[in-house]
Amino acid sequence: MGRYVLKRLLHLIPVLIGVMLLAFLLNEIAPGDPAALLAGGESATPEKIAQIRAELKLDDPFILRFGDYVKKLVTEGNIGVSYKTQQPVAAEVAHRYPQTLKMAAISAVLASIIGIALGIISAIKQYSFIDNIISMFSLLGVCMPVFWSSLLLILFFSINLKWLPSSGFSTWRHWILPCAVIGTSMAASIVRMTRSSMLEVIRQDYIRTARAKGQVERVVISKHALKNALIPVVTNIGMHFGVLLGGAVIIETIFVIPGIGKYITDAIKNRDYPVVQGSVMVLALTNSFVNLGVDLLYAAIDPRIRSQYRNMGKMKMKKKKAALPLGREAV
Amino acid sequence: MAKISTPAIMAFQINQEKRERIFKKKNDSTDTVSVPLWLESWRRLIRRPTATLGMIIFLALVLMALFPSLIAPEGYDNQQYTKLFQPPNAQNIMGTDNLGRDVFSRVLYGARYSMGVGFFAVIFALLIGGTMGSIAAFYGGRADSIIMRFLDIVLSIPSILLAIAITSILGTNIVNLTIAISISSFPHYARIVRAAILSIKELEFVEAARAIGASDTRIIFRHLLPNAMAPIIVQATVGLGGAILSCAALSFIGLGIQPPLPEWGTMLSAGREYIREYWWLVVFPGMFIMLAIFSVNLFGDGLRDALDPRLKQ
Amino acid sequence: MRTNETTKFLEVKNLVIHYETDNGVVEAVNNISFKMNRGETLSLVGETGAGKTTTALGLLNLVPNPPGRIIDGEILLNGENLLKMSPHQMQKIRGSKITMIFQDPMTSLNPIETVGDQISEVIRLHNKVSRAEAAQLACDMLEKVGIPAERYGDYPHQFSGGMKQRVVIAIALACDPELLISDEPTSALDVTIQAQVLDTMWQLKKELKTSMLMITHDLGVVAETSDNVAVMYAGEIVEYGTLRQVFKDTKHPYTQALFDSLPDINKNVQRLIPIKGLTPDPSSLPNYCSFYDRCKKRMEECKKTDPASVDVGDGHLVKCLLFASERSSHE
Repeated sequence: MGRYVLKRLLHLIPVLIGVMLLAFLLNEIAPGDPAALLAGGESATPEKIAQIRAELKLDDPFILRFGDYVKKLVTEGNIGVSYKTQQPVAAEVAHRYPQTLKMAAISAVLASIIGIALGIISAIKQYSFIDNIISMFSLLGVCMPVFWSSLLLILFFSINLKWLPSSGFSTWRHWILPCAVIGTSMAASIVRMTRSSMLEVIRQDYIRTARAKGQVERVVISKHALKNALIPVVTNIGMHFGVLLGGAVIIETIFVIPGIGKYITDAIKNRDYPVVQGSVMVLALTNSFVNLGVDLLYAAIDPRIRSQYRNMGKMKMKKKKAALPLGREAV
Repeated sequence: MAKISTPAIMAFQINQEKRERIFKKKNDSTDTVSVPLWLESWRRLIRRPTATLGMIIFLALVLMALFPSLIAPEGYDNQQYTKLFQPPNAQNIMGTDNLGRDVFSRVLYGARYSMGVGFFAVIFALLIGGTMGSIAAFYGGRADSIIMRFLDIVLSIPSILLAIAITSILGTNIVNLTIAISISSFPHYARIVRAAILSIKELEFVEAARAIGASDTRIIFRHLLPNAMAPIIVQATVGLGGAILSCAALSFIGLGIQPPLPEWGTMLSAGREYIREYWWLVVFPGMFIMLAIFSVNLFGDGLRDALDPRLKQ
Repeated sequence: MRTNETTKFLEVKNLVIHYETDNGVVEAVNNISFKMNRGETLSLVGETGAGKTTTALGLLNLVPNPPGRIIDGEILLNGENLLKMSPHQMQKIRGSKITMIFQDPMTSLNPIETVGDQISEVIRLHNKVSRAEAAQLACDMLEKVGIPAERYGDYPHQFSGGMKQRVVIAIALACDPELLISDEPTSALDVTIQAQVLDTMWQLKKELKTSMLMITHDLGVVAETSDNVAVMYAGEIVEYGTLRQVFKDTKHPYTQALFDSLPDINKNVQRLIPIKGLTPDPSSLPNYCSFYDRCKKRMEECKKTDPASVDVGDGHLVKCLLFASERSSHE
């Protein structure tokens, strides 16, 4: 297991460098002269612009500037300076990110619990009335754009019934609608994944073996089937976390929650590129770490992954991919 | 549709297939051509009511996208200041908006933008992703690991965020929107194509092609890709739903298609301001986004089952 | 060879099992009856798809449902009808009184449980023992099937196919069953290990004095091991009798054809005689003799009626019109 963690951490390094490079590149090709924009736009004097150019070493070769960017990022946590406020993006992100994470975490936990439970029920009662209902609603949930379901919920619960506030973030009641929107969309996807994974596992020979042992059906499902079925589901939840972070951008705009997503959309309107790039990078990094966590969890459940690293240290990803059960590659 | 197959049943199936093969050989002395695979899959597909429903809705939306003027009572930018914010009624079945434009007509014309962008984004993503996936799978080794690492990087950025970053920099127009959506989704296609090709690459017909001196390009395009088509088609169908959603989402936050063009996300975004009084401005455009995604998902699910050899009956 | 009627250990009467699919009803097992005495070995032989595995699953009441369904019949174990039992009663039978060794060891074991846990699970289900005692018994069982007890904590993917099948045998024999069903346990293994695994199974069977229902298409194995033989064709038992009756006094044209298709080192034959044609479609069986289309000795009358089983002497049953005149109908 230790070896696996190490290996997996090493795999993260090129991904992190790549993400930084990508973010840096996006900044490079963004229109406008960063120095001029930082100096305050059209009112800036040429001297001021030149001074900033020198400060930012904008005339250095690309690779040096990228090295500098990475160095600043790692040592100072500097991910850029806002054109608009001239403030470091990192400080603003640190201030806002907790709101986004809170929303994402609540939704993800609720969605996982509800989604997995409904998925199991749906699978073991395949083709029953309840399965049809769950399947139908989960399909609708997957197809509903979050920005539309947000508006519908606001229309219904805030405007017609006046039960819940439609914007803001000060009390727990403000969090209900946004979390419900993200949660249901994620839960719908988890239901579908759990159901198909369960159905796949239930027809495996080892489930028949468990039944042939005289094991009671409840234990066959909960011990033998569920644990195997959850392997691809866990991966799916991990990958969904990224979708969820992306969705947060839109949700925060609608519900006026001052998280990192709202920060990004506001920056887009102001053409404040460093903010967009810096924030996107923070979200991408979070996503990478969440996926790392999921992969570790995955190894904890599945002995096959663990031993691949124990027995054949030099075997590369190719083998690992081939050994993964369904669902991993297919997403 | 029986989803459970026991060894016994499978044995029956094998027998049945064998029997059919031999039977056909007897009758058809010229060749052993049986029912083409696509026709077989097609039959299985249309037997599924949900897949058929998805297909019908989807075709209706495609017709809307191609010929909106045939159905739409008015033009999409036909402003009539005498009837602003009319609720749905006999004349304007989905009401009118803040400029007196007929929402129904706008929704019909909107199909063209959302679905058009989605369609081209998928094609484009399929081209980039397919090429990369094929190269990775076919050459393996270093090329494979470099490409896979690169895909890992792109995948670590949530796709909608990547699309946001790209459009915010390239500028908002329909071409950039399409590019942004395809760039943010091509890794999925690359992975699917890679996995599909890896699974058939070692099969004997590829060896045979190589033995008669076929070039790499020929092997990839003539032998590997056509045989790896099933999962790719399924991914492309489901991916179309995702692309339509991305297009609407980007337009919703102002990065996609700009007003007065009647893209569904753009319409939702404009209608949001008036949500307190005029609900129809947000309900109908969103309903069509959902309908489009719903139809391709139903169709994709049906396709997945129809093309899955394990579920063959 | 016939024994006293009162001591019947297992009696299957008129068992009918169908698979009900969208494409029609697959008649997998059609009205079969057979008897077994305690300690005896009965072989079920026949081609792939003759309904052997379905019959075996029927005995455990594990025919996958849907689509499979036991339509009719009785399965009497020591006089008790298994098909009338509650799920709870049946769970007590499975794994302790009747156990089964499945065809494919690769998929018969749960990939994420240790092999030791999978053996002790069945021990704990049917014996009142502590966790530690069960583990100890499981270790003993591993040793018995020729696997060192240290490998208790290993996972299935760390074992070869032959070793996995030994584990499956250990699970099947852990609770000292009265009836062991073995479903072509070596057909998925390399030829070189087949003999070893079979040997282990035989040693244990003899040691435990277990009765055995053996499903196979290897007539050589049948000759070496069985007391009685039942030949299945298209879901029916076409010939049933002692090993001697079936092998030396072969009556049914299908059984004869099976023997003719085997290589025989004592005879100098130019080429083997395959059975022409294919088994009939089980979803549309004819209403006359199902072997008619492939039978070398078919007569005009064969197409008019489905023959009944006939006792041609000392319990030797043959389901063929050729012998209908010899004795009165068995049923």
